[in-house]
Amino acid sequence: MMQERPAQGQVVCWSLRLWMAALISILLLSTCFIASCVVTYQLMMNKPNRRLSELHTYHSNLICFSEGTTVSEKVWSCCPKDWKPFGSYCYFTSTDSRASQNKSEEKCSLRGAHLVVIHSQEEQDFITRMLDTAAGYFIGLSDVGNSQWRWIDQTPYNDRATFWHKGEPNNDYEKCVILNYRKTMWGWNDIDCSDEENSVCQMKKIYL
Amino acid sequence: MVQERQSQGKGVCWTLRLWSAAVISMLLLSTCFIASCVVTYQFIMDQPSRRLYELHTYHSSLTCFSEGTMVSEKMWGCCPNHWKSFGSSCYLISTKENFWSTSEQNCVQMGAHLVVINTEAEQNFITQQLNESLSYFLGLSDPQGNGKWQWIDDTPFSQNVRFWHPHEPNLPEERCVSIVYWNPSKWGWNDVFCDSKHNSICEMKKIYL
Repeated sequence: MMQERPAQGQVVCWSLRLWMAALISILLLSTCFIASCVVTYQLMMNKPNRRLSELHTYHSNLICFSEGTTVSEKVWSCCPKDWKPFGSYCYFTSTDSRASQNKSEEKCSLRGAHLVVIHSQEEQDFITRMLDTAAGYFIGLSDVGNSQWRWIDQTPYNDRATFWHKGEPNNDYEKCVILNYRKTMWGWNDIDCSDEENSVCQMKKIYL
Repeated sequence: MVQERQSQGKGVCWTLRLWSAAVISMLLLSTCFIASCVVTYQFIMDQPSRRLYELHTYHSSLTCFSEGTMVSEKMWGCCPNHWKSFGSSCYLISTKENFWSTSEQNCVQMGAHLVVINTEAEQNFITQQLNESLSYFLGLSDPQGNGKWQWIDDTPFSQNVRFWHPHEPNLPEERCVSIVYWNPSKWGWNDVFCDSKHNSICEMKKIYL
């Protein structure tokens, strides 16, 4: 009787240990499998590839420049042909015909881009070097009501990075913005959204 | 006694079934894990990424053209700037005269090799870029001088196209090949001395994105 009991106990312990080992193995393998599936999925959904596919429908040529500083191991940055690269964006000036703000944004969208969002003085200086001082250009900024200015790509409106002309904005009913040249400098001017102007399109570079 | 036996038998069967299930689960998971690791490895070792990185050291800009026919879902074919695009290759006409081996070295330093001509259409495309008063090294040579011509990228010569000028090749000592314009046969190949100086044509495969 006494001998029997210890023997049974030992057997139970042994079985439990084996089962624990088996369960742990299965859990480990499951974790590894899920992890590697996630990694594979991330690679498949790699952003540049999707954007490359999208751009294929809008553009027939890309120009890629070697990046000195490697951005997460990407050594090339690309813009469509005839677009100008600056920082991490590409820019295009639409001068084929003037249009309202809505139409201008549509035209940018048809190129896989949006009306320009200006983040800094350097960026504005770069953009304005491409522009004709006699024309006005829609940018991707509008007043959604009560002087609440909003960028088209949801970039937070930063009062310290605004470049309004002196005395602007000056009319509550002028809810769209153009970049134009006044006297000696480029700056922003609020205008009616239905006015017809040129525009500047912007898209993120594609990194390879 | 009989009951005990039956009871023990049932227990053993039950345990075996559970163990079988556990082992099968582990095997399945192992297989899935290995398979997905292999797939991930394939993605990471993707040729375009590696070649893009290599080209980064030779060139400062690329031009990519939208390819109508999608080559395995890759929609863009890229060549370095100033290189000409045709089919699945990029070409650069070198305007410096050099020995054959130096010409090849110069191509290699750009991530390319001397041109290998695979079709008449390719030769026609190339010759449109050339100056009729000059001759250009091809990636074709006969190192042993025994008439066994070989392409520099190991394309089999015997199965490939040939565009020799009439009566060429004509000298065993001329172990390299240039493409040259002669009247009246126009563009064709001529065997030349490897240590004579000619212009050259570099070729590399496009990068598909």
